[in-house]
Amino acid sequence: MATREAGKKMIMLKSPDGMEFEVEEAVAMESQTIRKMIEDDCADTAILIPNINSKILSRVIEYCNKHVPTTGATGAAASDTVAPAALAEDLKIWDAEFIKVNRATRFDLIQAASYLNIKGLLDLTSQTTIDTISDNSLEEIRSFLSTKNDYLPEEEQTIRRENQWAFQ
Amino acid sequence: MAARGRSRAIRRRDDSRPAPPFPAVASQKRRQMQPAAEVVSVPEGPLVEILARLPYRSLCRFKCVSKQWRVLCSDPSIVKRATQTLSGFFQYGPAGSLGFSNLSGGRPLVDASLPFLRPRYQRINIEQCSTSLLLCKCWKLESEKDKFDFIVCNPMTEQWTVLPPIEWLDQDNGEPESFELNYPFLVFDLSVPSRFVVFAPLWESIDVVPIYSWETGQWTPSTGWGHRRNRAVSAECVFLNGMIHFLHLLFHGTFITILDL
Repeated sequence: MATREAGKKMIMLKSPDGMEFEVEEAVAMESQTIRKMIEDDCADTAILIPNINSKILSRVIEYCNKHVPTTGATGAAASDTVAPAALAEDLKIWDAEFIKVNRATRFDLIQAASYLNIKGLLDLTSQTTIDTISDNSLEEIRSFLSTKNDYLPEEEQTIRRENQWAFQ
Repeated sequence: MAARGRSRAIRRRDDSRPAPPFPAVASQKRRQMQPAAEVVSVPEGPLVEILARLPYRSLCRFKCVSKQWRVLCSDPSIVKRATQTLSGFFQYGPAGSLGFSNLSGGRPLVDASLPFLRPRYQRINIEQCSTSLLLCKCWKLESEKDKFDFIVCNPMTEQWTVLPPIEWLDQDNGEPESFELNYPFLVFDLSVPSRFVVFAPLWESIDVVPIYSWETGQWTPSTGWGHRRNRAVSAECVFLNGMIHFLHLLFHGTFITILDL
């Protein structure tokens, strides 16, 4: 994933299934949760990331790698030659590709982004789901999110009546 | 490592949103309710994140999805974050109390008594209501009729600003000048309501109209008005292409005056 470069501080992230990921500190600090740990000096050698398996963690690191702000000599040179608008457009395309995952993975990513507090990733993952469900009927939403309608028919009717305005 | 600039492409509903809560508050309960054999249904943590980004209308609709959704869609911490489109109008009741008539149905989250201003002001008059912002004249004490503030507020977000006194340095001699604020008019950009300006024609016969900008938080003199400076303007102002358009009632007819900021 990340290779050691001169002058760059590296951080070891560990997933609960035993995988270790060495990433640049700047990349890891895209996560506000990890940033806080580093700033509070709670991260000496390795940080254990609970609840996030290696498959999801590696995708999260991939996202952070792509989205880390430009720093250092090579980075500055790159952004001098490419217009910011083009960079943003490029990132947008990359994001759209990145989020082409199955539903379970997307929910895992939302959970991970929420725990690690990575705003961009959280926006991307949850917005994609919102775009899918916002115009759909209740039945379509239930089937898409595998949610069971546990209302009794009369209960559903009552709650529907109370919120009738939202259906118009 | 591929270093890139930060993306601005992602749609954001609220940049000032607080850090998301740690996942799953009631996941234990949910597991009891639904058998484990169920196919990948969305866990509560991600669901909270998704619902928190929906507008209020969608939340009300989604209450009908299931009992769990109903609990989540009614959760004050989620509802508070939801964007809400209100259609309706403020109106005074027979006893002089202010109410809000909701045209979109349901219960709006707006409290027409403007409780967030109450600790500071005894009496509040709404002078102008423009889409999402209110311009209010507020008295700290009922008894002191001459002491009032003009306030611009958003009744949904409960953010408010007191318009400061009109003061600036005279452009010719550098002396401080101050004027009484009597007839403010609120104008804003419909696409970004928080970017508002107030312009306030003066009683004094000078060739200047003060304009307050949300950006600077100050009044600045706008000059070159000549005989058009009088205060006979309509509150129906529109902010279009960065310019204020308003109806101007002059002696020799009604005009649309355009003010470039």
